[in-house]
Amino acid sequence: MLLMVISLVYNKVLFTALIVAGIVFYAIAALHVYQLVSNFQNNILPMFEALSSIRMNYRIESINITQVNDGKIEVLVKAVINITWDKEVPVKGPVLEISWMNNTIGRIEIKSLDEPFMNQPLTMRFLVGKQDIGEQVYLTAIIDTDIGVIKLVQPIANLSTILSQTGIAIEDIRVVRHQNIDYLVFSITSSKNTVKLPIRIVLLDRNKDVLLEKYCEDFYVDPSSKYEVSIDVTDIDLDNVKYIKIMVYDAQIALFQLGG
Amino acid sequence: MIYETKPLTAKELSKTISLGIVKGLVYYSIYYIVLFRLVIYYIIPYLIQASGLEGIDISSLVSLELVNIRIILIFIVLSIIGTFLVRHVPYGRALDSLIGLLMLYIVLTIFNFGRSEGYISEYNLYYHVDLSPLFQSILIIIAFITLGHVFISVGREYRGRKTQETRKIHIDQ
Repeated sequence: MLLMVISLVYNKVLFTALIVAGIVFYAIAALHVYQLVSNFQNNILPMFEALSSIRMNYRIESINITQVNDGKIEVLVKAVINITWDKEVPVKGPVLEISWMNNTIGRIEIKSLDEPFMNQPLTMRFLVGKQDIGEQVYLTAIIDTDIGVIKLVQPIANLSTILSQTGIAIEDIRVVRHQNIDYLVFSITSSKNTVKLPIRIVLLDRNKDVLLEKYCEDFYVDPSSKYEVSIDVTDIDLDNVKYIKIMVYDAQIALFQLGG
Repeated sequence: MIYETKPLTAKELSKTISLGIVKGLVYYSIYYIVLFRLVIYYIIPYLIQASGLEGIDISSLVSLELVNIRIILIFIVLSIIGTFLVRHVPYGRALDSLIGLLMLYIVLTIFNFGRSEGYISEYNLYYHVDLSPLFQSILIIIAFITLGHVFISVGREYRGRKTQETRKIHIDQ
């Protein structure tokens, strides 16, 4: 009797509607939990597992340096990048960005982590003013996932270090006497790069003190042509010359040691 | 369950306030201490280390204030309001769970939804970690659970109150 009275008094439809609405919201929550968990299992965890074993190496193919107008120099670096990791998973990989003076100058995108990223070319172009030569080059790794973004920024080199990779060499060093003046004569070569900009050639003694400097406005070397230098060395003792340094702006791009 | 709205007497109100303080401290330890620690000491280091950096002591980079008076006070005030709703206001239980949601939102806002950045001198490395999508989806999940709970608790309270009234009428007769 009592039970009958109760069931008649409260609105069953309203009660049921409230409970059903509650269950619907619970179900939506459960769906979101399911999505999050499966995302973690299928994408996030495998991705980080692969990334934890990532190795990267690069080989510089060529560095071409030319002077452009307004006194700036343009440095074009062509590199070949190899990136490998242990576990191959079919998820999107990180993006690597090379930046310099707040500009992105090179970008590598690993589209999928299911095959190693081998022998990928990367071209970086620097436009360098006189005061920028010591600026750092940064490598940024951007790991973009559904749960968030991680960005790691690390300085990798400064520009003068990169310039010193040009691999220029000197050869045929000799002293030539012409009209009572002694000249130190040698040629500068480059086996794979083009360097075309004014440089300074500096002769140094064993303590790396400057003995003599020569400014070469029309300097140009490439794999097929070499640059002949002759320096008037009448005023200095040639035996003291221990090093020849080649400079761009204030940065050393090559240093050669002479004799024993 | 008996749905009873307590009278606003001094005795009942002081009971409400002390219950609110205890609840606030419990919420604080769950949300602030546990969740915060989980993120700072486990999730962020895990992600940074998984990105190829080993042996970073994250606790040296992020300092965690275990006792943050301002947050504790916010939590206690909100809990007292919540307990007041539960004990003195009809259907207040449902509103109270919405206050719990607000607390979670406050905690997530305090640590910027998992956005952090810093510098690790050992590796000469700057990092920016933005885990806001993760925390947004956690917030959405908890918001849906809370809403579900609100509807079900309103429904049950509605039935319970009607039943009690009916039973009362029946006994009175």
